[in-house]
Amino acid sequence: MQYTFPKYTIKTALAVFLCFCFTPVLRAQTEGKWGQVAGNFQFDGALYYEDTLIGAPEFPEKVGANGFLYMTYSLGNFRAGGRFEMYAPALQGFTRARGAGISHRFAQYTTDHIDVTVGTFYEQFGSGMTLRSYESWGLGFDNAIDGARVKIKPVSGLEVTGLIGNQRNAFSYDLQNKSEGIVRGANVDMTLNDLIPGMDSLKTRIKLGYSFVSRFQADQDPQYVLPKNVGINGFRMNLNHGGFGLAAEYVTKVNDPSTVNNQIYKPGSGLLVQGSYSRKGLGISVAAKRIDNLDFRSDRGATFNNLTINFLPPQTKQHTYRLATLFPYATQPLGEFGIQAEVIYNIKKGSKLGGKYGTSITANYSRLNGLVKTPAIDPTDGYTTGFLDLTPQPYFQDINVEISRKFNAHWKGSFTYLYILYDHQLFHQLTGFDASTQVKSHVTILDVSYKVKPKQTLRMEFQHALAKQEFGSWAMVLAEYTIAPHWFIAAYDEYNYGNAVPEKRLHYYSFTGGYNWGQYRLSAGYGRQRAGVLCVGGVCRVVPAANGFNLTVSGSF
Amino acid sequence: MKKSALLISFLLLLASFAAFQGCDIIKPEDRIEWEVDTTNNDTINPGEVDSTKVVYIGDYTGHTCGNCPRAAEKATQLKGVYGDQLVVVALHVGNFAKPKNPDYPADYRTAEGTEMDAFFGCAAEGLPLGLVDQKDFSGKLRIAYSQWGTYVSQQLNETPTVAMGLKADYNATTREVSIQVDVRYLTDASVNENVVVQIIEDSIVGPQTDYSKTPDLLPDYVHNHMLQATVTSNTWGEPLSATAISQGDQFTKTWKFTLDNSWVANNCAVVAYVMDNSTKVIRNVREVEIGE
Repeated sequence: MQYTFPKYTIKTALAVFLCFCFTPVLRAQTEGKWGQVAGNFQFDGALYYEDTLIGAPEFPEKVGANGFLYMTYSLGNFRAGGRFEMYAPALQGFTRARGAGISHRFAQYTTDHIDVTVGTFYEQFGSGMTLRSYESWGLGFDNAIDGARVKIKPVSGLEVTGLIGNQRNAFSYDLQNKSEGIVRGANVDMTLNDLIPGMDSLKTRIKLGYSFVSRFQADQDPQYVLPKNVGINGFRMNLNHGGFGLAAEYVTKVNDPSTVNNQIYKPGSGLLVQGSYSRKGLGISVAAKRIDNLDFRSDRGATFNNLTINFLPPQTKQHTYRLATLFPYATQPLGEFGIQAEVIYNIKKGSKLGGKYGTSITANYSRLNGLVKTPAIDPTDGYTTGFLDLTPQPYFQDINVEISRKFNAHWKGSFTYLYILYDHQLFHQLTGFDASTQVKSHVTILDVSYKVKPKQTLRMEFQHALAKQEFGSWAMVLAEYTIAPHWFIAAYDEYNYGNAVPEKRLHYYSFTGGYNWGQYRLSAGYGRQRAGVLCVGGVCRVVPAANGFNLTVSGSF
Repeated sequence: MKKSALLISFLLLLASFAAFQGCDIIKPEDRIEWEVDTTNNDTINPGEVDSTKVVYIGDYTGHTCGNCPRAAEKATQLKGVYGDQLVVVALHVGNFAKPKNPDYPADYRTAEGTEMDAFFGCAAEGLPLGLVDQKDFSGKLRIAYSQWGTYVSQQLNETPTVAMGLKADYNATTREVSIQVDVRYLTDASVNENVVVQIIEDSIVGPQTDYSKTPDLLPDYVHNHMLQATVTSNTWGEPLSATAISQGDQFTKTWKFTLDNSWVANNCAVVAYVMDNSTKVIRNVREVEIGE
């Protein structure tokens, strides 16, 4: 196969952008006997400037653009759809794809008892530890399966799924560019209360599940004898009684020497246990997980976020405030042990402490350690480790509290404090950036909103991150003014005032304005973005520093 | 409907249990078994025009890349097996190759390496990664080291499309190398065919990060096959022909190149490869040592 790199110009990007913008105008939303068309789209464009001060690299094409348009057509039990994507070329930090094409297309037939899909589809078994096929646009992640899937629901409380196909390779729009390995999977979910007569009246509800996923990939390695068929096996249970819930999943994987696990034949395993309790005004959840050599992909040579078959659920709180995301945790599929606990408590409205509108408090703790690995006698076995052989120093720890309260008709606010311990050395391996070994960061955030007029709100964030290591301390102020339902403008400045290197005590500012129009949304801005790591659900990508304008148009129809 | 669906469900379930039994479990004693076709593995004389297919690995690496020594080990292993039928060039590129004070003062990067990396996108994806004959194997262009062997053996089975010879005469006094490349096409080809000539150097001792070691800084790591310079006037080589090429066409090109004083001539080698410049896929490659 030939490898060609078509040249894209600003003109091409603009042309494609215009196509995206006008597509919804051309839509034919005719319902009824002719069926129905629905879909959504997004266009992200950026104009980059080289900025040696913040380390923003030169972007040879100056302009980058990512865009997609997803459309489905449904008529009765039948549905078909596709997704068109373009990268002209891809934005900074994404795999450097260029070009445009149809990345997904499918046809589906659904009744109460059966659901058949051919083409591209997403699927998840249980918690995802055996299989999760999904997409995350901002993360540049898509591991859709292209093949066939059948779901059968013979009786209420029983669902069986079977699937086969190849996976989408990274963010290549090219449908031909699929995994070398074939993914085969089967899954059963049972609700015992529906299946066993007499159990339906019980207050305790029990669900059981089993999934099996296997990958076939030919062995052409001249040195190793590699397993061609590699399977992962998962059992799970879900129990509910009133406000109590208990969920557990245990998975095992057979020998799977791969690039990521450094070609070892050690089997893998994963255990996830979650407990929860909730009643009015109170929610408590606790969870623990242990992951050992559980990286599973549809190509044993794949690395980074490419061609992952399974997903290891994160056990850290996903923060959204900017300075709280300076040090996000990336799941370590080769070995980690994590615990997490969270309590949400609402202080009653009208009480002395709760105030007129009530106050909500959320406290969260998570800690992840590595597994201590002792080299095995046979190097192809890799290592040995005990169930609780944990590294003395955690990879990551996060203690955080958030208190939010509405004071009166005009004012509301929240206060958040986080203390994060972060083993940067571990994540340095991903990025090649300079790193200290352990970072300790205290982050405080005050978020206040003031309703100026009935439809106009001013929201401000004051954030501070105190750290001695890595980039040192940061301060940030954000102001956002919203005129509902159409307009918003926002500006922020992140100031790395505590950087050990005086020349790097820089301001990273951003100005954004946007307009919402029904289901459509347009925003544009200018800013200087710091280099960092973006994680969604523990899956991360490196975000390089950038300086420039950006534009996003999105909508659904 | 219900009964038949129930039956199908249980059959599916049964099949999946059976499938798990069908997994390939490889016993420790069976895991390593070199499968190499040695019939074509005679020592080749690079000076003679010879149609033997030789495979190229571009090892994209960096001195602060802690997993990169694994790739270098893999290259050495494969070199041990395939001998003269494999040419390895290590290109130090990207963030991982930047000098980092105080422990990594050296700058092993080259302008050509950086240009090639910008084109192939290895450092942007993350190192170590390699290119095998700069070929895209059904969507796989940047290849993890664990799979180099797979694609090297695959490429060795390809029918060669050019026969090649490479000569290098070294004058120790002037440090000048006289290089001659002879190419004979075994197929027709377009006008867009280039020859690239590079200088690589072995045994450069310098710091390297290695995550398998504690501490992970190895001050006296030996860097091999390091790209030092491009002899051809362009990173992507010089055109062989001014017109479309026909089977049987022969080309001879010569260059004179003076080695940098900081290089150890005895550790240097000349690498020459012929590629389709529209795809950058390498047709054939030769390596010849400089010095005594």
